[in-house]
Amino acid sequence: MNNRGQIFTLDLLISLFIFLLLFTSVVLFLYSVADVNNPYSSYYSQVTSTYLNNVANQNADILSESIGSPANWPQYACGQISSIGLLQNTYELSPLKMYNLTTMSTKCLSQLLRAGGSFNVTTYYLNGSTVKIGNRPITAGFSIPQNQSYIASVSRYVVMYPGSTIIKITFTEWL
Amino acid sequence: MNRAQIFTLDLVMGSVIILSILSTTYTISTYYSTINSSLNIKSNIINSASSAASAFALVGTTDNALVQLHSTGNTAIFLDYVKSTLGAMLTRPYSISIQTKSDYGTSSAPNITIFNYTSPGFSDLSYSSFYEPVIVSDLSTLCYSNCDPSLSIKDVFAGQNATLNAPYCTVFYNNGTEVPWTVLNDTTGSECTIKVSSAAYPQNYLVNAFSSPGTFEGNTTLYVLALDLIHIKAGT
Repeated sequence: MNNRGQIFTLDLLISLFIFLLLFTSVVLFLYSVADVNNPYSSYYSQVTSTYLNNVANQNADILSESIGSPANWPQYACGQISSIGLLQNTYELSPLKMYNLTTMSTKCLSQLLRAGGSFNVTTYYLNGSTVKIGNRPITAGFSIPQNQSYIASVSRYVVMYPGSTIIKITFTEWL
Repeated sequence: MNRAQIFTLDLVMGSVIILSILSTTYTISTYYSTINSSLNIKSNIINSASSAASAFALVGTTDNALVQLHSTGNTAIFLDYVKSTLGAMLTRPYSISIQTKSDYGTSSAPNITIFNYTSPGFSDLSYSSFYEPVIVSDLSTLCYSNCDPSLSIKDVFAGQNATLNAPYCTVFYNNGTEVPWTVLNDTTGSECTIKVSSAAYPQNYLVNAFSSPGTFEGNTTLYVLALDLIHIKAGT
């Protein structure tokens, strides 16, 4: 019989190695899943999707539910405009303001909408065709890329002056 | 000397526990990510449906269709209009009903259903409800002998309002008595808003227009045919 105490054994070394390996893997995995700065983590996915959706909804509401500030903002330079809105009165879209949306510089529009460099706003009739005013398609921003990982697109329906046509305003934001 | 024991029961159990924790963590985080996406999608559907219901009630073509529905009782024509307009805006199955009043002169809600339609696939288990009160009014100018044809009544259906293209206006019954409705004058714009009472009778109302207080510009007629309620249920 061997009466010596056995502390530092091969069993211990191997067990310790396996334990540390598994423990490290667990920690790394948990951090990767929960790390909002990790583009492969589900938290990043949630935060990004929610952020884009909020921006799209906010800007769709601003354009379709306000007259802007000042109310006659098409007559002002970009630096003098606080916010843009497409309404002419409490419920009708202004064709003039819709037209001016397309002539305003993308940089100014991005600044006023706080939409960054990846947004698009387009208006459609109910039959799906793009609204044209003065033969100009009413669309602004950037071209929507294909196969984007994160993209949010929301729509609002509003009556266009003089009150006999419903227009669909679609705001798209992507990353 | 004993042989080294690597593959032990302890190792197997420990590995199973750790792998279970990893799987559970991944499943939970993926589940909440799915719920978050689902909530965003539903919220977008509801916001879009809300604007669709409002636009449907406000647009002049709906008023024309309601006038025709009241005048002829032809629900097939109104159904075609609903399918081509509301149906084009709502991406999910929906239901729509139109109620009209049975007791004018009181503030009671419309309670007689004159039109009802449910699109295929609509489920009572998941929908959002939208109520839109409307003034059914023949928008063609209906003038008395001295009316000004340049003035136009525009019906704004939200909250049963009507607007006139003049900053100030007053509204009278046929007998010359001023109606006790709320009129919102627009000193900065060019449209006054007439808030038609829910107790109003279906009749002609004379509307006088003023460019400024005391400066009469002309008059026109607000013809109230009916006060209806549009109820839209949009599937989510």
